[in-house]
This record gives sequence, structure tokens and C-alpha cells, in this order.
Amino acid sequence: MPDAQALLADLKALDDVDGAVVWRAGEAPLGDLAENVSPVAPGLLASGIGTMEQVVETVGLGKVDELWFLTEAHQGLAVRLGDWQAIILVSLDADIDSLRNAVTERLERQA
Amino acid sequence: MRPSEIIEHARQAFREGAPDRAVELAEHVIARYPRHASARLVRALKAEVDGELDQALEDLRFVTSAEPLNARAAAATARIFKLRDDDARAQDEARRVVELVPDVSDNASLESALDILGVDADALPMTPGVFARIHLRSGWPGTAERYARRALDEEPDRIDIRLTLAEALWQLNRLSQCEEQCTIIFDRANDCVRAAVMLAHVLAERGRMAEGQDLLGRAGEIDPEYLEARQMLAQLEIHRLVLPDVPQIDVPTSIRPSDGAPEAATTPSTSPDHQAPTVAEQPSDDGPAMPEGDSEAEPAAAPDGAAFTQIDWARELIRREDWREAERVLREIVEEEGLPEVDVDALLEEAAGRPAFAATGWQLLGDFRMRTHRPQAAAEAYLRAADSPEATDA
Repeated sequence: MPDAQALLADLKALDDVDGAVVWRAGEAPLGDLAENVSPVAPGLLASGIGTMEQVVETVGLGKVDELWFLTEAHQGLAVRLGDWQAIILVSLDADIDSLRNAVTERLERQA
Repeated sequence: MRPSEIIEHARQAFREGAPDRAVELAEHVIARYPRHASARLVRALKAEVDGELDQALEDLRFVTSAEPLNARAAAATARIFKLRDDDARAQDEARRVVELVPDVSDNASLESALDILGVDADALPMTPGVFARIHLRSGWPGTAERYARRALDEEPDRIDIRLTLAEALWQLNRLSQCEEQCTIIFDRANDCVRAAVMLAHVLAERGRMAEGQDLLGRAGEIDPEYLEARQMLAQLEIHRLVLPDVPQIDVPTSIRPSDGAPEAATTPSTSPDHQAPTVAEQPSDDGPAMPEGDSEAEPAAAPDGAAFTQIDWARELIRREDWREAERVLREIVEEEGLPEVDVDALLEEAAGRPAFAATGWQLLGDFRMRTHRPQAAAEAYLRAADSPEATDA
């Protein structure tokens, strides 16, 4: 858990990151999101991404490494590396490519 | 008190040679739930002791219809047939007891059956029905199905074997075939709780929620705490049925249990290793005594050495509505490795079923399902957490 907390703090400290969720396979997700977001949001985001991964794998498309989504106010990026997964929520004008590299780099340190 | 707690006191009174007291407690439950199977079984056993065999058989027929896998009811039925010199039916029932493979907590039923059959345990026949039960209990529904079908080829009227087959199909997620078997079971035993739960689930999965809930409600007349349903549905990753809150019955002071230490009534487990534990001290309104005023204390061991597990402690805290402490213990359980998923799922569903704890309970269930690699089921739990009102402080 300390690893997850440190990783979460690290991700949250990245420029343009408004919120983050991290978890390792076999553990409950840990999140740091905006105060006005539902307290179950980290769990919902993590389980939703996990479900999407299962769906993609079940239909034979292989294992998901990254998922990106866009809403009217946010970009969301989920990255998996080995046992570790992270989701970051960033503003619409953030450079998602450089953030993807930063998240991957931090997950590699954990793996 | 929960009806199952009252019945545990009644069973204990029976074991201690106080059948009058046992039936008094059972009747109190029957007054509220006339179709409560466990209470009707206690009443039947008392009638058997009193030699009122017709009355005993009437209750036993109902119990066997509701719970075809109940070895105690089958053993009592066998004994009554034996008392009536109906040896053929007595032996049929006794064979059924053997094939139900009662667990170690029910040695008395097996001994009754062996006595009637006139054989030692060494000479027990290993029939396809026996193998079907063993394989189902061991978590091998595929082989259980094959053995159950072989057993039904020989004895197509055996409802207990057909129920074993239906449960194997249910576990294999072959719901149409399961439904077919449950329909046959209902033709012969239209009170069967386990068949009702399976059929309710099948209906709900087909979008016929109202019919599913209605059927589940009928099972609730027999098992008002939905113990069987909770245990069975907890095996699923996800289900749409809504289980009502656990009911409580006021027990008048005149019959309120005051002596003895009954087994704690718990959600039944699929594993014989998780039988209802013995409560450490005599029950009171506050339930079994746990370390008081020391939230860090571990659960007490029962005087006879039986462990009072962390799951039992959590269930007791839920019953006491000590939400702060319950949350602490439940979080420990969620983070503990190696606990049976089915037991923890059932415990957390029970906690989440309490309105004051719903938000936290569903969130913990979501966390547990994530930890056990079930994201889809976790999402369902988290969504319920999001829809639940905030828990109130204890």
C-alpha cells in the first residue's frame, strides 16, 4: 500500500493532472480525485476499466495496455504495466502524449 | 433476535434434553413465519419424541419439500417409518440420508441411517448419488452433473438428486437446463427453496425481474433471512435480485434464552470447514460477549476451544449495529488473504443490506471484488455504493 500511495502522490504531482487512481492487481484501488467527485469514483473508474479490459480480452482482441477517453471537461488515460495500473484525469488542453510517457515511466519504476 | 438465532437456541435446548423449551422457541418463530422450515423441523423432532408420529410426518413432509437436501429431516422420517414397522420406506429414507452426505456436524443423522440400514460406515455403498454430492461440494460441477444424471437414470423420482443436478448446471451457468430441472423439482416439491432461488435468478437474467423477485419472496416465507439465497447468490459474480434486510423477532422475556451457548447462526457456508461456530459466552440481548471497550482486541475463543472467527465477530458487530467497529473489522477482512470468497461476499452483502451501512458496505464489497479479480462484479457493488445514502455514525 505505501507503494501505491507514493505512486499516487507522484502521479498527482504531474503537471495538468487533476486526479489519479492507482492499484495493483489483487488490491483495492486508491484514488485522489476532486472533492466534488463521488467517494466511490476511484473504485468505479478502476472496476470500469477492469471490465473493459475483460471485454476486450474476451472478444479476442488481446490485452489492453492503454485506454483513453474524452469528456466535455476531461481527458482520462488508463495505463497498465505488469501488475500495476493507473488512471489520470487531466484537462482538455493537456498534452496527453507527454503525460502518457510520464505515467508509463512511473509505473515502470514500480514493476 | 434473528429467527435463525432463536432456532439455534431451540436446537441447543433439544440437545440438552429440554424439548419442551425447544418447541416453545420454535413455535414463537412459527407464529411469525408459519412456513419457517427450520422451526417446523424442531417441532417435528419434538412430536417424534412425544410419539405424535402423524404430526411429525406432516411437518417433515413440508421440510423435505422445502429442503430436499436436509439430512436431519430425512433421518427423522426414516426413524418414524421404522417405528411404524414400514421397513422398506425406512430403508429408502435411510439410504437417502447416506446419499445426502451429511457433514461432520450432522453425525447423528448418519448414525440413525446406518442403524436403520443395519450396516457399518465401512459398508456404505458408493452410489452415483453419493459421488454427485461429493463432487458438487468439492467444486466440480461437471463431474457432479455426470454422476447425478447416472443416479437419476436409476431413480428418476429422487428430488434430492435432481436438485444436485440443477445446482451443478447452475454452477456451470447452463441456465436453460437448470431451469428445466427446477421446473421438474417444483412439480414434486413446490416449496423447494434452493430451486426457487435458482429459478428466480434465471428469470431475473432474462429480464423478468418482477417474477424473479416474486419467486424469491416465496422462498422468503420459508427462509425469511434468505440464508440459502445469500449463500447461493454469493457464488455468482453478479446477480440482479434484491435480498431484503434480515428480519428480527421480539422474544418475550418469558421465553427469552438465558442459559447455554448455542451455535451462532451464520450464513451457511459451502465448506464443512466453516460450520457455524460456537459462541464464546451465553447470548444476551447484546449477543455473544466480545472484548468490551477495546476495539483492538481480538475475538475471544470459545471456552471449549472452538474459534470465534473474525467473520463471526463482524457479523455480531453488524447485528449490534456498531458500525464504526464493524467497518474496522470488515476492512481487515477485505484485506486478509485466503478467506473464502463466498463467505466474505455473503458477509459484506449482509452488511450492505443494512441501510445505515449501505454505502460503506457496498464500497467494501467493491474493494473485495477488485482484490479478487472480479471487476465487473466490483463495478456493480460500487454503483450500489454510489446510489446508497451516506452511512450514519454509530
